[in-house]
Amino acid sequence: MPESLKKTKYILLVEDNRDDEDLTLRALRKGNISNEIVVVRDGAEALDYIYGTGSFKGRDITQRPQVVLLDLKLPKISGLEVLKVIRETESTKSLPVVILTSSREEKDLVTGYSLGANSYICKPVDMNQFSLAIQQLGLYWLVLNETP
Amino acid sequence: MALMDTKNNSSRGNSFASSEGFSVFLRRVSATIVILVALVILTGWTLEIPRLIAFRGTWPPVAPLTALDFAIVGVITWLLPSPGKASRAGRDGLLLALGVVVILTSALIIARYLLGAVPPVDMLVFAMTAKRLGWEYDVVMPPATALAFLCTGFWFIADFAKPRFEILKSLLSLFVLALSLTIFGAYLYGASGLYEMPFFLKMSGVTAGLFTLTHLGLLAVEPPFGFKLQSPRRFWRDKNTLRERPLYVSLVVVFSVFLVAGVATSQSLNRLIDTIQNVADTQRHIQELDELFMGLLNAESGQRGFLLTGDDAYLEPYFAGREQYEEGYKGLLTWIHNHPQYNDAFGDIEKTARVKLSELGETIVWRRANSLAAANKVVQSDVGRHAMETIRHQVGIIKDDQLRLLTLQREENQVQVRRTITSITLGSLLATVLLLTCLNLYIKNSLKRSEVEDEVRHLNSTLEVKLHEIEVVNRELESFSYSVSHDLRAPLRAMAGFSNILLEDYEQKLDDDGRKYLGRIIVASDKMSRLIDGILDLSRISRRQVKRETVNISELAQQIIGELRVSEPARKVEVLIEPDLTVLGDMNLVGVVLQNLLGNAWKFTAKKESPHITVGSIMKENRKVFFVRDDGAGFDMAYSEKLFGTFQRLHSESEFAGTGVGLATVRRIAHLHGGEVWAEGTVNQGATFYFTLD
Repeated sequence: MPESLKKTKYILLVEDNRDDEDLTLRALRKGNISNEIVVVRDGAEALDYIYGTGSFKGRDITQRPQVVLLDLKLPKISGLEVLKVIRETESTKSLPVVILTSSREEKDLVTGYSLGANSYICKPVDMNQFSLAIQQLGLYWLVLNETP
Repeated sequence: MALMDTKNNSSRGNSFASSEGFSVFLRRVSATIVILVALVILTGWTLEIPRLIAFRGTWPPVAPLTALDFAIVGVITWLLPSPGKASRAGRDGLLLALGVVVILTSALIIARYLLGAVPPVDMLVFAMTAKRLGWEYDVVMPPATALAFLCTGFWFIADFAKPRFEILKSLLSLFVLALSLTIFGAYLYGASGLYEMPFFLKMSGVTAGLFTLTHLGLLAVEPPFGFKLQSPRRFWRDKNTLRERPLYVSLVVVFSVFLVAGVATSQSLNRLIDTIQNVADTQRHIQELDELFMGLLNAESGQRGFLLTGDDAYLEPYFAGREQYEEGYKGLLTWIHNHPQYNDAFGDIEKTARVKLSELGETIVWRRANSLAAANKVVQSDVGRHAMETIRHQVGIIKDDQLRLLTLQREENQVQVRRTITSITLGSLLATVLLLTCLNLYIKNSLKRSEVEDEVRHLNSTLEVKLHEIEVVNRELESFSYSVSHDLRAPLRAMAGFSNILLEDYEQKLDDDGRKYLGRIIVASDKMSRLIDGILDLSRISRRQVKRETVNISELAQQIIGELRVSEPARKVEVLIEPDLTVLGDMNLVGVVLQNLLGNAWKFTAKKESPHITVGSIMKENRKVFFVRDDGAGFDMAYSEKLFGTFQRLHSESEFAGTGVGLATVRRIAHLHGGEVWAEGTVNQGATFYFTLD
């Protein structure tokens, strides 16, 4: 099982809103992206998953997601704090993180980028635009982008 | 005013700067006077006019070197850089050199007094002039003057080492002022003893006055013991000084009263001294008259004794009497000379007395040679008695006159004593009362000031609390809009998203109506999303700081029209933009204004055949007013105020799409710039939106 997973490119989706999660997953499926999507529902869970702690104790942490899609407004630990921990930890310094949020606040944008986010995407309300954005995102990070 | 900080804030700083300007003006006025007076004295020395050198006959002359030094000091004082102004190397060097000249010359004079060997430099040139003008001695700068020049010179040197020597400078000035004011005051009050007696203080009244002027001018600008004078006109116009005015006015009054009372008292004292002198003189004259007469009597009785006895012992009172007469005569001579009305009587006395005295002498000689009987005959004869009667009579006339005068003079003296006592008592009482009034005013003033300061502090702290509250509210507002941005959009996206999914995945199971309704859910969600964006933009703009720069409105408008043409290439709109419209405003915010106004104009002319949009400016009440005009749908003026309210719309969504936030944003931006926005329009004729930004 670990052997087969090793070759799988997957996405870590950090999202507390079930509706947004479903819409995101559907948009990815519609875009013919069949890779595994791991979903965690708050900041603490996201860190546990990435570093194999808490309820994810024992997970093979060398299995890194191709990209982390990170919401900003999250229960327990906020998205920006998660991003900060990821960038400050040596092993995950280069892990691609894309902020995927409803916020259009200039402040969030600036802080996100200064903390080292790879992209900042504002979720459109319009479903067509939303689907398009998610599909392009998946295509780019799973297919086009190369990670070290 | 109420919110003015107790420390130097900007407005206080401004008034300081202007009072500094007035102080510098005062300093230059004093320097100019000093230079002119010095030049007058030097002219006096060159043209040999004594009045220009000593000014008053009783005052000592001012030495040429003193005048020269004053000219230099005046020039330096005039050119001194104002505090806080950048110094210029060239000028500073010149001033430094001039200061050194003043120090060297005065040090030379002091060395002359201490060592005695140094010649008076200026007298090498002017010694002959001094002699010709009648001064028996070399006119040399006195030691007090030299010391004051030395202090002044060091003041200038210290000025180049600012600001470390501020206190030294003030002390030097205060010392020179104390010295020169004392001497100047002595001249002013006529206290002759003070300026004539001590050799050290032998400074001319002119010199003392010039030093006083110079150092008042220097102190007018220099802290920390210096005074800063406000321009009287500014002081009078400044309503903030209302409270302090009585204090300053009473200070001026007290100063004047002191001056007048001092002069009056000193004059009264001088008159008193005169009356005492008069009484004493008259008494002396009476005494001398008595002595004159007594001398004759004594001489006569001595002669008689000798004639009768032949005893030489009687010659002693005879000679003493003669001497007594001579003394009295000598004492009276000058006085009589000055009082011609007594000339005849005194001449009579003198003539008779001389005859009498020679007769006395002759009889004594004669007695030595002859017998007692012959002598008796002489004594009993009437000749001598007649002469004595004449003298007694004449002396009596003068004496009676003098006694009457004495009575008058004593009365006058009494009056003068009373006057002087009154003058001194009244003067000191008045001064005390005025000083107490001043003190009272000062205390009241400072109490009031501390009250006002307390109030200012209180208001400031209240303001701080209010500011803090506003900050808290602002932060809350920010987190509110943050939540709105996040949390309101997510459910909207769910509504729109799942409706979309229903339309895609369950299309077959829905009939036409079902599909239409889902479509309306999607459209409504989209609209609400735009409304949320609009509100967020509006609140973001309200929180923004305005960064002003020159914004070219014409170029911005051109650019926005270009974008609109690209978005709807099919539309043919004629656009006219006045060239080179500029305004001092925030580039981004002005852009938002134009985007909204031009966007509206573009939108509301959509149904017109050949629409026009104009961007231009007019002048109204000296303000530049920009406008955007279209000939589109227009609006009813009755609703013109509603245009700018948030979410207020005059058209239905089906006619013209829109959120109702655009014009509210425009008004918010205009207000942020301190400007206004208003509109004129007619239904179906078009609308004009005016705005100002400053």
